[in-house]
Amino acid sequence: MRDWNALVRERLKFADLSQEQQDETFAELASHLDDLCEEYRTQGLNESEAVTRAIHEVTNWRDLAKTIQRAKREEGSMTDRTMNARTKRLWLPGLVSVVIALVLPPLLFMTLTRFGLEPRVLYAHARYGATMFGFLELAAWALGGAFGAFLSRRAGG
Amino acid sequence: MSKRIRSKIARGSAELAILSLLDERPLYGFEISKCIEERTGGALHFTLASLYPMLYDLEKRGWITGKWQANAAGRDRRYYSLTPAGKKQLAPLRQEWRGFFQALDQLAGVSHA
Repeated sequence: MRDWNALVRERLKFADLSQEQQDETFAELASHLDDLCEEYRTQGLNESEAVTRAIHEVTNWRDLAKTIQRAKREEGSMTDRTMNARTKRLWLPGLVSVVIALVLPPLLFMTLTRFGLEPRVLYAHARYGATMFGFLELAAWALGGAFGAFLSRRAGG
Repeated sequence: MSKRIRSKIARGSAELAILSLLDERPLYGFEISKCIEERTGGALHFTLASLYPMLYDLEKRGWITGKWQANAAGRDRRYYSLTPAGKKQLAPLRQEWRGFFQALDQLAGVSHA
């Protein structure tokens, strides 16, 4: 049985992919060639013909390496795909949640005061005022969390 | 038709084909290419060189995700499945292509050709 992994490793040269990404790609492409070769065998080709035909699936390995590299690499300097996925699914939504939770309550507070709801007056009214601002804060946290979860889910998290 | 437009159409149709298949069930690369070829009667054919860059790009965009697991024969294969983001992309993509073919039909009567 042919060592497809070695063949792919030999022909596909990546300049800018992590070792983990390279190993995964080699393994995946090798398994594809293996399946293809097996299919050609079931169609009646002998081992050598099947191998030759499977190899001809790729006409230019250098181009393939470049295209795969471009497809796997993120834009700009952030070349680590995993890190970028994590950024989109975890860090960015987390940051947005925190910002919303921190910024929204003062904004609501300021809006309320603009409409004549003087905080001191509300606080002076003891229970209801305090409860209202407490509620706003909790609502902002919940909203921030929900929006963060939405962003994370949208990015495939 | 310019090469650029043609390649955009080819790329768009390939994306739609892959996302539509993965909407049904997770598949690995070889299965994807076989399914596309079988279902289109050979009209669409993906070689290894055309399929995997597309899969990796879709994965980078977060529309599909790959996971290694054993297939029916017990061999490890990387199965791709549609993410919620990919599912969301599929409906407008289908709509876009439907509109494109309708427009082309009105112009050139392709469905009666």
